[in-house]
Amino acid sequence: VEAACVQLDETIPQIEPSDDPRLLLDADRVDLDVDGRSELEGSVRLRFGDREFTTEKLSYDERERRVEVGAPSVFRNGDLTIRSQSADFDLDAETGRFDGASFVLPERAARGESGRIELDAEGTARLDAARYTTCAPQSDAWYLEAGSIRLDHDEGLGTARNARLRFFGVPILYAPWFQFPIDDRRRTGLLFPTFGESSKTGFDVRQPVYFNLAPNYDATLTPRYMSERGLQLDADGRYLLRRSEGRVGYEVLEDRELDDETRAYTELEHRGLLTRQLGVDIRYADVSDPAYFEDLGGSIDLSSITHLERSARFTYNAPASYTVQALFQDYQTIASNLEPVDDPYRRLPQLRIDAITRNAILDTRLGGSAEYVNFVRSDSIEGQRFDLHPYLRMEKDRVAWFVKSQLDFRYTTYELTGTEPGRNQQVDRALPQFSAEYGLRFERVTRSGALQTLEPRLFYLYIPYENQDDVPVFDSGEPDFDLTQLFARNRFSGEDRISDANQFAGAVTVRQLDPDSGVVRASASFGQLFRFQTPRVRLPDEPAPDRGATDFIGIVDYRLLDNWTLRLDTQWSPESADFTRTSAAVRFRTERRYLEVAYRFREDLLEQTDLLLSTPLAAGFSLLGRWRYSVRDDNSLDALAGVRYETCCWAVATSYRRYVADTQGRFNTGVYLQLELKGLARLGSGVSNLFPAGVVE
Amino acid sequence: CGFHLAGTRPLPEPLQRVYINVIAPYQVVQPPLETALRAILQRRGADVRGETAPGTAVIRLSELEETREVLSVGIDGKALEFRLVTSVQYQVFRDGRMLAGPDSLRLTRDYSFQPEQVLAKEAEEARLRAFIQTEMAELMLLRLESQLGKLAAVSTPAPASAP
Amino acid sequence: QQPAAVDDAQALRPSGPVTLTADRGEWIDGGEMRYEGNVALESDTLRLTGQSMTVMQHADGSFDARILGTPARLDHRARAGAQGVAGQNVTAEGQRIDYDSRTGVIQLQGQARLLRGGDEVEGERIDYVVAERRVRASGGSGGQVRIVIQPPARDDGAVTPSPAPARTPVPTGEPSP
Repeated sequence: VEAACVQLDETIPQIEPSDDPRLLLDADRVDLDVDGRSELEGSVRLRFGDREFTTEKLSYDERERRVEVGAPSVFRNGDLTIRSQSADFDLDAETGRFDGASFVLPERAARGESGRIELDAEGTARLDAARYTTCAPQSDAWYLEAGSIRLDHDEGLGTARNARLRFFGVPILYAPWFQFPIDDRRRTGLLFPTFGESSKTGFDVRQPVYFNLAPNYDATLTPRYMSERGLQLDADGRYLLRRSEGRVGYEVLEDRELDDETRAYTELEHRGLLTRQLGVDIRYADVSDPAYFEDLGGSIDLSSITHLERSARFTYNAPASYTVQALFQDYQTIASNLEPVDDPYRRLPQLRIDAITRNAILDTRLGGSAEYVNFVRSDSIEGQRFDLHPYLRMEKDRVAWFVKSQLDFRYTTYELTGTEPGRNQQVDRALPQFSAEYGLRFERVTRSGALQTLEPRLFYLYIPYENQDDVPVFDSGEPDFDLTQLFARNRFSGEDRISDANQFAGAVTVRQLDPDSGVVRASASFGQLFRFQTPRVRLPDEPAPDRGATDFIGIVDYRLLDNWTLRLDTQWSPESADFTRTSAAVRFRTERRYLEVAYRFREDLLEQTDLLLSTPLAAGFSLLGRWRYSVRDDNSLDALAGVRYETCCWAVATSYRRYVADTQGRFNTGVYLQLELKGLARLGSGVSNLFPAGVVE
Repeated sequence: CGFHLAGTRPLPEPLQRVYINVIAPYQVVQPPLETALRAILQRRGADVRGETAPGTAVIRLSELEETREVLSVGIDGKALEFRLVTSVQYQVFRDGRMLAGPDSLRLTRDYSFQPEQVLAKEAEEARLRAFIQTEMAELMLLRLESQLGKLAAVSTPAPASAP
Repeated sequence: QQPAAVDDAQALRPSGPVTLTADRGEWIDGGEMRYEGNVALESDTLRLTGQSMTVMQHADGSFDARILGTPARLDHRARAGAQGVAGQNVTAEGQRIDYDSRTGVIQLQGQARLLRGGDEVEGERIDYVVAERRVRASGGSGGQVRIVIQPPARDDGAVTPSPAPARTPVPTGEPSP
């Protein structure tokens, strides 16, 4: 579908700008009389600066310096092309009047008709009894009918007075005053509205208005009316400063459904450089009540959020020597089915310094990190944690093989408060860690010139047991057991638990490249961990992992044909001879089409299928869909279907959506529609929330 | 079976002397992608410079974006699985002439989410992001190698001394 | 070189006394006069010059003149005291100028070009009605007439290019421009 409709006049070559003050006339026959009147006939062409008249008959009055065009003519001035039944032009005042006119804005591919057009010296056009549209000449899909329209090219704005918008003849909007852009400059104005109906909000219409406040900051104000809840105001500002940028958002609603309780959402993102070496990243988000997104979010990407991060992160980096990070972080828990005891601790602050010597002696470098964190959480054990972590790292890489070994010493001490009586306030832990990794790299080139690589790796980790039963758990947890975890130096993520370990991990990765592009045609990785002893350090109420071989990890990525890829990521348990985790996906991707069929299984957690589809259909239609079905709960959790019809001057997008929206498992079903009359407003972000990200790849 | 120890294939000529230029506004720390790319190039014998100069190829990395999408949702409507998506644009040029790209790479990794372990999952996410960028550096170099120079005919395996 | 004989064409009276000058003149039968070299035909405000001229005199005293030149020229001084267009000198040129004193129309042909107060008309054929100071032009075969009108003096302060330097008419001996 072309970007804009082809208007008739695009065949005539553009007028080359000229500031020649003389009036140039060409005609087959001319007649100049003594009192300065000239009559011209026969393919007459008048040029005055960058304005041009072409007609069959024209007269010029030297005394009045006026051109009169009795016959139908075409007038052009670079911004505007006017075809009129009769016209006259005052050369001194540089104003023109055109009767029975139709016009085209070449730059905007817009056109229209007007009983009378008056043109002033700056090229601003005033149209009486006018119609305006961006549709192709023979199509009247939509047009703006107005008592008068003023086209101001300097401002790039069209202003219509008592305007009526007709869509296929049906009036869909009446506005006493209506402004629309006539060039591509960022301009204050309406964005396209979104209409909808959903079980959580009832009738739901959003009409975003864009404010171009300055070249480096702008805002979008979106009044949103929901029949069941009332009027919500959303304000969203963006700013770009010399060395920082950010976004601020605020939404507020007096919710009729909750007897006019004020519900608000505040959001801030700021990233910047305080100095060349000191970066800052600030995030803040806050909702007035946990069910905010469940009721008002309107999409599963919002309603599925469980925690909102509030953090200020400062990073100082002295090039090639050390990095200091300071973090002040808190989370707002907005999943109403979570207990306060599960709330994440607040880190007020976390200070961390990482350093490593620049060059190595005998391939060995000395490095270390020191971290202080103050963990805060109401009516819980709180504490300050100091962690010292010096290490010696030896790394030697000869392409054919590489060796990496590391010896660490970990010293961690806690100053605790709020512990039960009898438990000590001060806990510390000290233990060494040793790991050694050894890898080989093999390759060969197949007859077809494709490079194949084979890379086995072995990893040994030894960490002695240190009782950590009375160490609190502030930021430790059990990560997914996947390929990256095979080579991790701690069974847990976070610092509060360092698992004892005496284990071997082995993995092999095979890859085959496409001879020309070097893109990986197929790759497979297999790995496994073998524990010589059962780890004794455990998280509270965590089952003990067993000795011996752990689950197999397998990842296969296979590009069947040019556009098809198969991806398999599994974890197979030898004892239960069953998969504990499986993720399988088949993807078809081309320039404009995307199809994915996926199956995901995690033991005791989820078993779901996922279907994504985005494809153009025939004649301007395109289809978009996503369906997430939970096999375990035998229930469709999220279904989204969207159809978009687009022509060169208008588009309509509708979407149906049904997804589990709140912790009680209730569904929100919504239908949304957006009409886009191209050129009449700007495309705001309105469309994106119709088709949530992640679907349109 | 025809496999032999790697290391016999020289780097294509443009990658012998190279400067890695990362365009990442507001980033003060070197992204793992750049660190990994620099390490791979250096071990392959490349001279990785600190700034650009005539005759030095420039690997420009831009639009390095890391996003997180909700992948699976539980019956309570809350996220059960996240997908980390990392994408980057890259191109190689020397003395104003484009040698490879502009091209892009997009890698993803999924991980489960437990609402009770937000801080632990945050640490896991950081570790996965670093892993993705390291893998991205390897894939990028494999592409650049084949685009920038036809694979040299593989000579007989040089005797490699493995400790 | 002897100035041509000066004919007192009292008979050619339509626009007052007309003087014909040339380097050489000769009668041809049937009342046609042929002049060669720096020909000029002048009445009180009108002046036609060129390389050669033939004049056909009619019984009623009117005449037809044809002047050829590279180019032949016409100068028509402004009407004294007149305003607007009439108050502007008119000069024109063309490879051939035909003057019919009965109709008072001068026809210029062959890259005809006329200048009136800074405005310029170019075309294959330009008819100039002397009495009414009226100009009619046409493009002829396929070509078009081009009119160039200068912006009025007060408009742009800059010097309006004055019409081609009005040569004070020198009776004889001067090679025409």
